[in-house]
Amino acid sequence: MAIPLQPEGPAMSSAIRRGRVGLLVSGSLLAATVATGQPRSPIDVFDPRDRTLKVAVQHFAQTSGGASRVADELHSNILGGLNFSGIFTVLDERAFLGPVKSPRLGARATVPCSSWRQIGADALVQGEVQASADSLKVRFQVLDVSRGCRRQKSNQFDAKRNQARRVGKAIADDVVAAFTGRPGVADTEIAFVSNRGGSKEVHVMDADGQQLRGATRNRSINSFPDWSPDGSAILYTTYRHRNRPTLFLLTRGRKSPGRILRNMKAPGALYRGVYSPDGGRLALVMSKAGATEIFTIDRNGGGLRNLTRSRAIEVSPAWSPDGRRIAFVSDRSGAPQIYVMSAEGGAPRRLTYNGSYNTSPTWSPDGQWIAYESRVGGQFDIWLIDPEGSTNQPLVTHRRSDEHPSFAPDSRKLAFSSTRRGRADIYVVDISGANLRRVTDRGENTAPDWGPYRR
Amino acid sequence: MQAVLESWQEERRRQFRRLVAISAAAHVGFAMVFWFSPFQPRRQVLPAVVRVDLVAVAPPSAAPRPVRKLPKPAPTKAAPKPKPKPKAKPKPKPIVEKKVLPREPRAKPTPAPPPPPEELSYEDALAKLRESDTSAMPPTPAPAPAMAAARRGPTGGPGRLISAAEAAWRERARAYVLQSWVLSPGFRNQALVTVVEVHVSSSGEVSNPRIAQRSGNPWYDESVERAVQKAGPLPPPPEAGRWQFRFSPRDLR
Repeated sequence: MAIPLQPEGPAMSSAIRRGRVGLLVSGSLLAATVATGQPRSPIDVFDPRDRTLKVAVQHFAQTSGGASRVADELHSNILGGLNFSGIFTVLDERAFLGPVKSPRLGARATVPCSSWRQIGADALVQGEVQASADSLKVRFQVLDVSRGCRRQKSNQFDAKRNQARRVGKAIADDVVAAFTGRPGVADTEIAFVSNRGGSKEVHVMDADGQQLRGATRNRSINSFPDWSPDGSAILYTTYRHRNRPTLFLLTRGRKSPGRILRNMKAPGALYRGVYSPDGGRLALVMSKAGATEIFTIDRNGGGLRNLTRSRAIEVSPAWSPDGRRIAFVSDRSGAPQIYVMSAEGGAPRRLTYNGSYNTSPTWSPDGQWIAYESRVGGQFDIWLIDPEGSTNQPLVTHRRSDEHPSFAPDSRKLAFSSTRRGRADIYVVDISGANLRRVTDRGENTAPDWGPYRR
Repeated sequence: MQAVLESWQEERRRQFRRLVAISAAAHVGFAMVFWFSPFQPRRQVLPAVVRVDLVAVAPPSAAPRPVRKLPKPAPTKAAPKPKPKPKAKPKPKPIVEKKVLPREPRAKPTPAPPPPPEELSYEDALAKLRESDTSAMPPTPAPAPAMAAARRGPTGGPGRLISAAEAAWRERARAYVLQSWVLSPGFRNQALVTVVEVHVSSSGEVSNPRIAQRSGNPWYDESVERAVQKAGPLPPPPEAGRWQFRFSPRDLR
């Protein structure tokens, strides 16, 4: 099928818009010669290799005195965030042919695009910083160098002076959004369980591993952290209450966590809770007559419903992003496998058939994939399967175990825990399998749950 | 004693002569038999046999079909079939074209019957193979429907002939553009097809890109436009003018 050549009108207007009248003349002449013959079939281009866009980041102009340290912190975090994205590679400023320092954005300075194109830049980030004693005002813009240095996006941040780190990462995420339609995840958080303080506590860190902070401190066993969809709280299971598993909620800004579902008439022990995507319901794992089953319940404690009624063990519920389905693990076939069922209950459909032990499903926020861990030999690898079960492929394989995947909110990255260094650490990786990096360093670190975009 | 000996020797000589005579007669006899026997026509028949063979291949037009279907190996039931074909194929085709075609109708009745059962069994075999394949891997709903639709959509070019020089340039241009195309991993699994039309000057300079067919995802379209712009200058094209590039994350041809 050949796409007919476009009439000259629109091409002409776009050419004039770009001031390329000379090209227009030759273009129209040649188009005429082509039009006499049969149209050419398009040249097929497919299967691009894993490559990153190249970005040049200028040091933001300082519009107030005494902002140099803030500007430096901002700069290094923009670079860090862009490198973390897996979408961009930052160009070394020593290779710049253009100025290292950004012009002020207000000035109508023309950008000499060719000097950026010559060093292979796809994008150019410029901006300005204004810092007062306690506040910070940052403006930036990102230019699409390949497409004539047109302005792809601009934005302004008003923050506290000590938030330069976050602003830098937020700018990086914005730049990613400008080129891919989806923000990056440098300015997001990961909750996980670590025993670095002696007991298994829930911790929170930035997605790149910086800014680690303890979230629980009860010297008991805490597990299965699960972010609320709005990022305001973390649900987790703790054994601090009479040494029995109980669900607690740790809310941002509150000092002590609170027990939830206190008045629920549980048929047995309550092992785990998982927020639905709208935050209105929880999927629960509870024991009932010796077997664990999946339940759902309203966030306020009403409407308890048993979704799985079998003698098998059912665990690890994972909501689909539209909240209509739940993936879970059941050993009803004799070995743990992943099933999908309606969030209202009903007959589950078996999803995984590879291997004899598949568990820990997690749904990507864009709904395209379910990541899970699959036992291969004596250890676990991370696999991706689409919810219909038509594509099923390994993502992370290693002779040591990779476990407990959790998707980043952009669906382009996964966090998981791995024992590849001997003890368990949290790693993040792109869903292409590239850009693997370890983000924890001390103790045993497991059960990561990647938080939502921050607001 | 000597007389007895001589008579005995004489007797032996006579016997020998008789045997020689019989043998000669037998030789002549066999020679006559062979000379007039029906074995003789064999020499003349040989070419006729060749023709018959060739005729047998042509009429059912079975030869081209298997070629199309065979890309997948057809193991089990197809086994009996190959026998006639290898014989037929090596025979020089040029002769076939001239001689065989007119005789086709005559030869048809005999070779025609075999192909239908062959064809059926082949189809059956394929069908069974497919069945057994799907039964072995239970949950295999059609792959991403959108992807399948895209596959059905834009197919190869029209009837326009592409010269060897142009084909070589197209391949090089494709490599140039592919080299400069950066696709975010999130788009990799989606059925996105964008066609960009761009002017390529005689020296290979790229200008004035225009999206001729959008994918529905503006960021994908931009990535593609970027790739074309960045790819320039391309190798000098066989003909300056507007060229189209069709981008898809996977090979949809």
